[in-house]
Amino acid sequence: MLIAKDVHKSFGALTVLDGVSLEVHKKEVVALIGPSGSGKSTFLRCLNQLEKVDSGTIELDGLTMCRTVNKKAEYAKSSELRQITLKMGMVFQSFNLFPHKNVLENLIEAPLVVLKMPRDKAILQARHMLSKVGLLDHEKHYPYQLSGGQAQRVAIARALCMHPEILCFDEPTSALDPLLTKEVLAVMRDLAKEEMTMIVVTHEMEFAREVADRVVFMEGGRVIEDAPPEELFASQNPRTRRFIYGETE
Amino acid sequence: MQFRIFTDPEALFNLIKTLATGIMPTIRIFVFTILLSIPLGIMLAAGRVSKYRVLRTPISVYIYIIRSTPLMLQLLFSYFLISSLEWSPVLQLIFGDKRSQFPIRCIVYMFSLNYAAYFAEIFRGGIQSIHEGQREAAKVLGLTRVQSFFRIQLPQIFKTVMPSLTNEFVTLVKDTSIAKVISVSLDNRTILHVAEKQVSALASIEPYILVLIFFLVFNGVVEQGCKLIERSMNYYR
Ligand SMILES: Nc1ncnc2c1ncn2[C@@H]1O[C@H](COP(=O)(O)OP(=O)(O)OP(=O)(O)O)[C@@H](O)[C@H]1O
Ligand SMILES: [Mg+2]
Repeated sequence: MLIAKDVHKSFGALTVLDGVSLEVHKKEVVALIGPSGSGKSTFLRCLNQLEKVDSGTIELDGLTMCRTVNKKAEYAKSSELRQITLKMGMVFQSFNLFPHKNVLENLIEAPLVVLKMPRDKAILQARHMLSKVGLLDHEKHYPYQLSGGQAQRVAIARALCMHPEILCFDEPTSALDPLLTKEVLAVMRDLAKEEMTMIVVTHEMEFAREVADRVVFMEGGRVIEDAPPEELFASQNPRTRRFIYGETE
Repeated sequence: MQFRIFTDPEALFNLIKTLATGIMPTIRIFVFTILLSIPLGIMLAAGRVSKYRVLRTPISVYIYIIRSTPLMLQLLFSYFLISSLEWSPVLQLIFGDKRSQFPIRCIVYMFSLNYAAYFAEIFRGGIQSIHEGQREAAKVLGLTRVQSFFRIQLPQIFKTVMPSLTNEFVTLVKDTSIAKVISVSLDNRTILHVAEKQVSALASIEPYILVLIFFLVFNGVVEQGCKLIERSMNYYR
């Protein structure tokens, strides 16, 4: 469903993505792991059009976001890009809830404004999503009144309200303590059970091992290994082992 | 100092009645200046932080010129410059009739151009105070840049800049007195225009005392109004 081919991206002289390719199929959960600075966030941000790639192909559901023409990325026209935006969801490490809107308003904002959904329908759907993440009794709370774990669950519910085909997570639990991490991971496990397609950048190896269908190990802007968890965690590749088990040669 | 008028109820009543004719024109300058300068200030601020140098540079120069020169001089200069021009249909469209409407419009426009520069700097700070993540969250949810600006960023910007706006509003109330350097048509005379006539006609400074009181009350109301607005945005952090 999602195809990224040979994606390159530099910030000035710094090459951050050095030919990343990744395919994600429907209903798959892909965990993206790798050391700090390996380009995981940048890759997700390129998929969500928060950064522009220098070259490479990105396709979603048969729609082309960009492809390489004369060694440079050529982006589709804006109407097509918009369609792709609507098929992608993104959950940030820092939640990025809208502080001036309460939980319910955060959830209905995009359905009302972007999808032009009738208000009562948007509210009904928002409550449904809130019950999924276990926060039905918090709809009148403002973001500053929520714990980090609650805020992240609201952010997930907000993304779900747009019915994305793929949901991307960039270290969704890195700002949380272990207890709050658990409640967010529980929500993500439920989503995986409901066959949500997900790409999750994470340092939670436990989660990657249990929930992911595939684990992708990135280093230095390249994909080093891409395999089912049992295979990847038993990898013989020294770089992979060094990252996962902290082994030194 | 003798209070000839304050001790004579009838004279005092007549003076107050006369000065009162200047209240609405003064308030009008204040209100119209704010209505024009805030949107203009927001636009200038947006241009000031844009990625296009062709927008940034002229706006910076504009803000520098406006903030470095006196408003009174700007007003006199624009007034005499424009009144020296041949009254073309374009000028007629912008400033109205040269004798009856031009002076007051020139005042309001120049005030707005001046205050917009100050507001632009304030809003620029406000725009930059918004976390990049807010824009990004709005974008991945599918909001357009315009929707994101007006629905997500602007409400938060107003909350952060409101204390600075209050300062400018208070200053603007006092700056309406600068309009006095331009002669305006009868029904546009500000309270200071009127008071000055009275001071010389009555050979007394008592009208000025009443004008002082007017400004105290006017600014008291403005400050309370701003406090209410600030409080209405206190429901979140
Ligand atoms: N906007 C930017 N401008 C310049 N350099 C950037 C920018 N964004 C990221 N980088 C650089 O790109 C490199 C890769 O960053 P990225 O955030 O993608 O890594 P990551 O794998 O997500 O790391 P982490 O695990 O720490 O989140 C880093 O060296 C970072 O400093
Ligand atoms: Mg990262």
